[in-house]
Amino acid sequence: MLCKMYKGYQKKSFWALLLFAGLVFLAFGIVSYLLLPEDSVCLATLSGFSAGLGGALAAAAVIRLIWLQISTPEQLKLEEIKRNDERNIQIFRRAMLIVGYLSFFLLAAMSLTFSMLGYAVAGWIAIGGLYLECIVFVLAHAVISRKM
Amino acid sequence: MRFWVCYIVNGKLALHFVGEVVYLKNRVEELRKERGVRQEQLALALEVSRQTISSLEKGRYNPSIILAFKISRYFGLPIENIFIYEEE
Repeated sequence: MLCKMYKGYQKKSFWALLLFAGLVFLAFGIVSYLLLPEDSVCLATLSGFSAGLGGALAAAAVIRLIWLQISTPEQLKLEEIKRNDERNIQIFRRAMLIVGYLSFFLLAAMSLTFSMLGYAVAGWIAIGGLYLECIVFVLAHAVISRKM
Repeated sequence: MRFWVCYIVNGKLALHFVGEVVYLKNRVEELRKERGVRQEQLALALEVSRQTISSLEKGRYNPSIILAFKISRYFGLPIENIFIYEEE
């Protein structure tokens, strides 16, 4: 299940790969921003997004790699126990359930707001997100029902 | 803990008790103290967090059946001797 963290969370190779991906995104963002013409605002935003994402990924990977390096096996074992603890998983699932409900109503409110403000495209995107959530819910319900 | 659901049936408003969440009483704290085991030690042995043991002992959390079996195996007692189910 998604709630159980990927076992690679404690593998250095996973975080090294993430660090590499982060640096690639960061480099792409910076280089693309420097090469862009001055009047391309939207592409500059994308470059900034890419650089920000890359920087965040790289920073997270570096911190995690340092932590993996300095941790003792007992600390790592405790961390794994906490991550796979059934109560923590239940808490996470219930919190995500609340987020799921909230996002549904939030998208509905956003589509209404954007339409009222005259941003038709943004409104349609929000409605598309609503439909996507409904479809994903139906599919997930069907898949999980078969498995259980 | 009980909760109500409000809905409309044949044009009339209806309130309905929708089940209840029953928290099992248990003797985990009593048995743990008898054996002189700390919460952290029990948590490590059962491969759960200390907060789970604390919540269990306070009756705020119902364990899964697997965890209940692990606890009964740890203390060497049947599940019924550790967890008490009382219908309200």
